[in-house]
Amino acid sequence: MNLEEISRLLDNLDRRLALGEIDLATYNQLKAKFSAQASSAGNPLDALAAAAPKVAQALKCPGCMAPLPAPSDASQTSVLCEYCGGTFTLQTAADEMERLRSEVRKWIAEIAGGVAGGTTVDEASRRFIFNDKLLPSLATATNRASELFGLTRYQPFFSFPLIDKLPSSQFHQALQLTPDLNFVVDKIKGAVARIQAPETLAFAVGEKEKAALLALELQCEENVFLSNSRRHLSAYTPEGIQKARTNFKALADLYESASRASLALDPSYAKFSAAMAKRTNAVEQAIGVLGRFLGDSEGGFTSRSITDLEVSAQKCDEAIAEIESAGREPKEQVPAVEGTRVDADTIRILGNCIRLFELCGAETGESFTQFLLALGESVDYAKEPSSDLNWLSDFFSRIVTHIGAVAEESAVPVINDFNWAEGKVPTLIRKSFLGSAETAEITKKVLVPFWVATLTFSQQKGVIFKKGQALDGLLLIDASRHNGSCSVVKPEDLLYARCQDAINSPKSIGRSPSAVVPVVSADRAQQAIKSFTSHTQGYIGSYANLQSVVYIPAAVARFSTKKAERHEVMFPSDMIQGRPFEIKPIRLGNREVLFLR
Amino acid sequence: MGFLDKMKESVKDATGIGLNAQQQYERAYQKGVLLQPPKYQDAIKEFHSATEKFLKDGNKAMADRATANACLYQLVVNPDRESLAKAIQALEGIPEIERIGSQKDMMATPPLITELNAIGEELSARDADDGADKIAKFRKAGDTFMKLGSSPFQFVDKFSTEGPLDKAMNRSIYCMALADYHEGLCLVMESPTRAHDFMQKASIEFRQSMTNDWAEKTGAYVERIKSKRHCWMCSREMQGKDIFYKYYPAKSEKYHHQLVQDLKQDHGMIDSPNSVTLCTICGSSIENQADHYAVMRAQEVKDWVEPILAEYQKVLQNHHERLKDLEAVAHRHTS
Repeated sequence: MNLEEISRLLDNLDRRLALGEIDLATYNQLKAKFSAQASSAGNPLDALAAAAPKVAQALKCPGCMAPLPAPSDASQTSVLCEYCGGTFTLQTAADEMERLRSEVRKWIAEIAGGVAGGTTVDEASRRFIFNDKLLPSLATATNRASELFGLTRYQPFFSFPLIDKLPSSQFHQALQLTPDLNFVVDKIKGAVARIQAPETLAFAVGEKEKAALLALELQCEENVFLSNSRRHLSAYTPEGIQKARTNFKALADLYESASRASLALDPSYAKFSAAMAKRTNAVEQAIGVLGRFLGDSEGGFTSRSITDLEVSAQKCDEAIAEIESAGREPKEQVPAVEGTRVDADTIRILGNCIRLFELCGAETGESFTQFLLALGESVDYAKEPSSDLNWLSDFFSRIVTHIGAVAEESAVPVINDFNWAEGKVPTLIRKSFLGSAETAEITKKVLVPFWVATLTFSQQKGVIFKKGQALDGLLLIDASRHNGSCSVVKPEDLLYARCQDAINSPKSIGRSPSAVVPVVSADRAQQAIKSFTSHTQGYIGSYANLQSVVYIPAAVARFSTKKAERHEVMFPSDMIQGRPFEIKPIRLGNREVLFLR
Repeated sequence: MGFLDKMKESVKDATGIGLNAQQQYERAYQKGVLLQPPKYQDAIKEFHSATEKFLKDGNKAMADRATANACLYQLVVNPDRESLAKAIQALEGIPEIERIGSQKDMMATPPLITELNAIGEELSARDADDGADKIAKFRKAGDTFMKLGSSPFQFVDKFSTEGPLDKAMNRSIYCMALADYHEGLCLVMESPTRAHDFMQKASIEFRQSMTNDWAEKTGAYVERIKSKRHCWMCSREMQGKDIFYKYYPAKSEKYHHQLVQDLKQDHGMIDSPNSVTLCTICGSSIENQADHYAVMRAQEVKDWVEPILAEYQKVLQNHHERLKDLEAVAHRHTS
């Protein structure tokens, strides 16, 4: 047989092994036999390739370049990729692999042609050829192939449906910036084939060279696994979650391999890769918990899951510390820390959601998916354009406190007294000149949350000889809606003392009357205060110190005549302008929460 | 109090004459700070008068406090460097002072001094021309703001509307981001790799401090600076789009793309339609040489055309003189 025929035979052996036509033992035997024949034919380059470690190469998925599983039996003609979910015929996969192998051999022949024989010289020559010609070409190809994905490389890995509700979700941004998988694979296919080819490996004689190849392989395959993971996770289906986990496990293995390979040569890179492996494993475990809850119609074991999520979040925190101490360049370290921090926060928010699920009757049999939908509805009501992860975390804390107070399990500042309403209604009745007076009745009683701040402001007396004096009051900021509405309550107002008493002596709310959830965070309240003290006439330059959310009673009265009817919203103080509102109830498990619109 | 005493008190109150030091001090609030709208200039005058009276009484502590208040309100009225320096100096002498706009609420002066120092450092950084100086001053301002933690600001919004105005920590990160941004700009012509590091850091820091416009600006710069391409002419790999390599208009066909692919060369050189990447040395040498030849050619044309135009000018001048002579004769005839 001539050299060409032997080469073709050798290539065919890989395909036959992948197709299940021969077993591994037979493959190794035949490969050794024909390799020896090829080396005696005299081409040093082919001899090198033949002398390369006899590692059976798995078929690669034409859709994503991940390894395809071996066929379970000889009659199987197609295979499902567990990474991208695509189905391909074995023939297609084998043909594609063959095509890439042939391109790689041509490339190696062009770049490394003319290598002299002799083992000792060969090793030195091989090292030289690798470092001088192969590696720069591979590095260029890898950098070009992966430069578009650099932006999303370290961005958040983890998300769940509620996070997608936020106007600015970093996971969502990463997903939008991640190019289509076909585009990704098209870019990296050639580079990956060259990096992984046995012909290339034959030139990577030392540990340093092997580590360099592994780093390039990581750079390429990272993009495939991340693209697959984010895409599958964002579907939030059991199949998608499973595929996301598979991809993250593969990515973690890749990071761990890179870490081990570079431990002696580049400890900084080894530490960084190990930290990324830790982060990826933590996210994979969190996805597992998410999968349990999204897939399980009765809800999982909430306490155990909350603990598991807290462990994952802590592992992310540890990864952050390790990344920061790895000594990598800021262009790697800073985005990696940021992305890991967002993952840790998101995992903790999922833990709070499950905690809320537990509080709202997980044992009643409602699915977590349904609960998450209802919670999503509440987020839709409560959020505003600038709402971010911090706001979401704060919002869940307030919901938990609110539900606890309504269930009489915790205490909050509340003024639960509506006696003033009966006295106020008659003062608002209108009498027309010729017609009769309106009839009035109180139709609704509700507790509305307000942020309360102590206010020090000035008041001016005198017309000619003006004189200012300092006065104290309370500044009330509506916490039930994002309208930034502020009201000043002075000491002579009864509400002033009652607010202070409520702050000093919190108590539970109980189920009646209804209480509305506060949606305004402390930061937003501070912004409203700043705006008020900077621009409101009569209060410019005043100072406010934010204290607490206080639930204040509001009553809606209907005033009607034979021809018309109107509604008035009343508060204990005339200083609070009553704006019409609707109450939106949302059922969370066995609890109901109310929002104002 | 008798009628005359009450009259006396009213006159004192109305005119400010005959007040003692403490009354003068309180007058600064009654007739200045606590008016709506506040009259800070009047308050400053009253505080200065109170200082003199306290010094006469030998009460240095109150005199210092009155001076500090005067300087503080002067800073509110005129937020400039001079007022800032005077306010810092005055505040360093006292442990606490009334909160701005309040007569009763006191605040410790050290955090206020820290804030004013940080503002001064930030202003110096913005005014600095030298890159290294600017970077160092922004870092210093960032460190100083960080000492205030999550405290709200008293004065920052009077000096600047750019950047975070809510929490000191956010402004600290913003100043650090500006330092990294300027460091990136300073380094880019020397080492685009290091510049990339600083710009990347700045981009994340701007996002953390919620200054999204800066985050986008630096993000776009990062994309440019990290990009690498080979030069079509000299085959050297350059980093930094529009910094060390540019896309130049060129005609490329499918054959060229296939050729580059077959040779396993950098396909990025012709990845933009009808363009090719050249390093700035190759590109600028062509542009400069083209300019040189264009100027040379223009000079040649000028040298060729000027004598011709001079000749035409002579002919025209001659015609003009002949016409003048003819007109003169024509006039004599008509008259």
